[in-house]
Amino acid sequence: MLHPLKTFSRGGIHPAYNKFSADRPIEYGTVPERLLIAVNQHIGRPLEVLVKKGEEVTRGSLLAKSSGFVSSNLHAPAAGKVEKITRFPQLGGQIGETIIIKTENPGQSLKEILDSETPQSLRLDALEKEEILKKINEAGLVGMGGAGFPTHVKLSPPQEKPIDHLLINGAECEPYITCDHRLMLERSAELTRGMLILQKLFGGVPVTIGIEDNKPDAVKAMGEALAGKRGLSVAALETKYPQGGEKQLIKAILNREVPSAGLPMDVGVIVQNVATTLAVYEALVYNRPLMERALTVSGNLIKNPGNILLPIGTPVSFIMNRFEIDAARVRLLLSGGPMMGRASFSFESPLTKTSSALLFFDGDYVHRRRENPCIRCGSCIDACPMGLPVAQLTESIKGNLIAAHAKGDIMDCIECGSCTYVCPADRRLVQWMRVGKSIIRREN
Amino acid sequence: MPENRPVFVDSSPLGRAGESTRKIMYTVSLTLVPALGVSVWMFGFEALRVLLLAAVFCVGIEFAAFRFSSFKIDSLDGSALLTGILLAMNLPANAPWWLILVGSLVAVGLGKLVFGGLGQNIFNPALVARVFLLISFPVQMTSWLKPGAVDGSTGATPLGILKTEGAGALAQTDLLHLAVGQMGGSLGEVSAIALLLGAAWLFYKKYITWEIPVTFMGAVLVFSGIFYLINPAQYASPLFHLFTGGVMLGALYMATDMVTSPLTFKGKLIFGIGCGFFTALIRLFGAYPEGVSFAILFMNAFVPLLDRYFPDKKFGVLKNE
Ligand code: SF4
Ligand code: SF4
Repeated sequence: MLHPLKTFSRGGIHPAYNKFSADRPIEYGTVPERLLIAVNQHIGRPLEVLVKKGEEVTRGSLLAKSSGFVSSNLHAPAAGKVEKITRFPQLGGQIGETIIIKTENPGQSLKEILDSETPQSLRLDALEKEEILKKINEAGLVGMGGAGFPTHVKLSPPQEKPIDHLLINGAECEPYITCDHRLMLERSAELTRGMLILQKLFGGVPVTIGIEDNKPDAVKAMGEALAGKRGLSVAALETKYPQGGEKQLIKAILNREVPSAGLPMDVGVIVQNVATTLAVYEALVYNRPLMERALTVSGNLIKNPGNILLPIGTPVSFIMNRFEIDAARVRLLLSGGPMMGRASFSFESPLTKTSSALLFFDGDYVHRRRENPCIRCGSCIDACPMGLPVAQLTESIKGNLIAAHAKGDIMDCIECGSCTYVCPADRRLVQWMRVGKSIIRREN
Repeated sequence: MPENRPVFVDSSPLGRAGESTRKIMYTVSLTLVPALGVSVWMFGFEALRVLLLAAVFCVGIEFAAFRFSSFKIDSLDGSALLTGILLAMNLPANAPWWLILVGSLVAVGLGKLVFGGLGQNIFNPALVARVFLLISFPVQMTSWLKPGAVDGSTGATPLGILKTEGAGALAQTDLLHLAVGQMGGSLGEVSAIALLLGAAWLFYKKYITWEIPVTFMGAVLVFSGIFYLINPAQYASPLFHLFTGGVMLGALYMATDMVTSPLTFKGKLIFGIGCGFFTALIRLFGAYPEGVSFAILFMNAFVPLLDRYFPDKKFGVLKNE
């Protein structure tokens, strides 16, 4: 790289990246015997379930319909019969309404299914903006990096917020996770077309994909794929967590600071995840709703970590079988990365649209020390990418004495976890910040 | 459906950087070994005796407090040990055992536990004890063993000579000797170079940052330098001030104490400048020959205000409210 690497300026940490599965191509998964499809996998209004027990569904049937603008459709990833609709533990611990489908062809390879679906010819210049948004909406796309915010909503900023730059988030700054890395390597051409579709949506604004420099092959592959495409570019980023935080990514690539309590569109930017951008491409070119996703399966308990494409609704136990993980040794099951992911208690919980990784750890990885007094070392503040006075804020939250001027700060926390990661006193800082947020939300 | 078995459920982040309070406290203690080594070399067994007594008393007092109170105190977290070592570094090598005991009681009890224990105290415990002893037992606290004196003869510190006899009396003092540590003083005041060596490791480990030491020493140099320029016959040179007394120990170890120094960048700068300014002020015009302890304790009191009114820049906030 001739150019200095771009990065956000303040805070950040360097956890052990442990990207064991970086050189493992994405395998095609198979259809499990049962799919357990959580009804609400997105942020927004709850869905309206359309199917009943005993009903036959085919691949792509609408299972539940969005009930408003900020909501997102849900489709059946494989043909089968609705066995029941029940409340079931989800990844992340909550219990949620779940549609259980007994599949018609268990064991069928996703490759076979995907190969049978033919692309339509897509004339980019003939596409209308409304049509693009409509297709994205119908396909039930949500942010696949973990947030689960409906994509069509994110792509419809109000008139008074003009967008002049789009960013694709290929930072993948969480340890262990490599699925976006693989997508950028293996599907750079399709990703490029997804970027062109998004570019079209905003009248040809520049689109930049930001990639951390611990993935030089992805930087190269995307650079080659984007060569000669007007307005499309790659930005190599310093490897530093949380480089892929939306606000940090915008600061790193465009040197714009999203104002406190603001959104990226306040500085004329929209950020999309790599997997979501590919899903946009598939929604338009294949008319394919969001029904499967690539995820990383890794952790310190696994001999052959990998990346795999699986239908949404696949239970964890199915993946454990495939990757030969001994359930008796698992002490910690994480969905998402170790910095922001969630720990789960059930091996039957199913994948959702936002599950970017499943990580399996033994007891050694579990951190179980009690909170000690704050020694005012300042590490949390140095690590905080938002520049918050974390030590004082959390102290006030613990005492339930949140000062009026501190509320904005607490709400600005991006819950990246850097503070807890560095604290020598084992204080659960981001956890207290979350408590603070909910106290403030309740007051309002 | 196979039965779910218990797994640990916790909220993210699940990994940790691997720092701990113990690690920090013991590392800081270890970096004081070179300076302590010089003290022992200078003052012999006496220095070792003061050091051991102070360490044992401080840890013991914390342990007793833990046993006889409902507080949760980890008396082996290293903080009491560090307080003990720092207290010893603030005592003369011929301090009697009861002086050390009183000092430890004041440091751990009054300096730390009454505020609520580790992390809650406003003032640096070791300095609270030093000042308490200095005011209560001025005789014992100002009889300094002469370095290398096997016969136990005592003498004044260079700063004491400066205060009582004026700059002229220091004409033969060699700066290099001062830097290496051949002078009278408390255990921790003798060798600037050994202290810098230990502190270098702390910088490397990022347990201390440059702001406070640099502004502290800088302010001492500037303020004493101004008067030196005005009248070099009456005032000692700024380098003399830098290498004598507690400036090195104060700037590198006492003022940078995490618990009692500011958290914000600007706060640290102001804190350091304040410490240096008041040190110079007391040395030049005060009743005491040495002003480091008073200056740091005085600035300790401002730490909450500095943190509050000089916050760091937040992301997405243009002007701090
Ligand atoms: S979790 Fe919040 S408070 Fe902690 S470092 Fe991240 S942004 Fe700062
Ligand atoms: S990192 Fe932990 S011990 Fe250090 S200031 Fe923050 S809360 Fe206190």
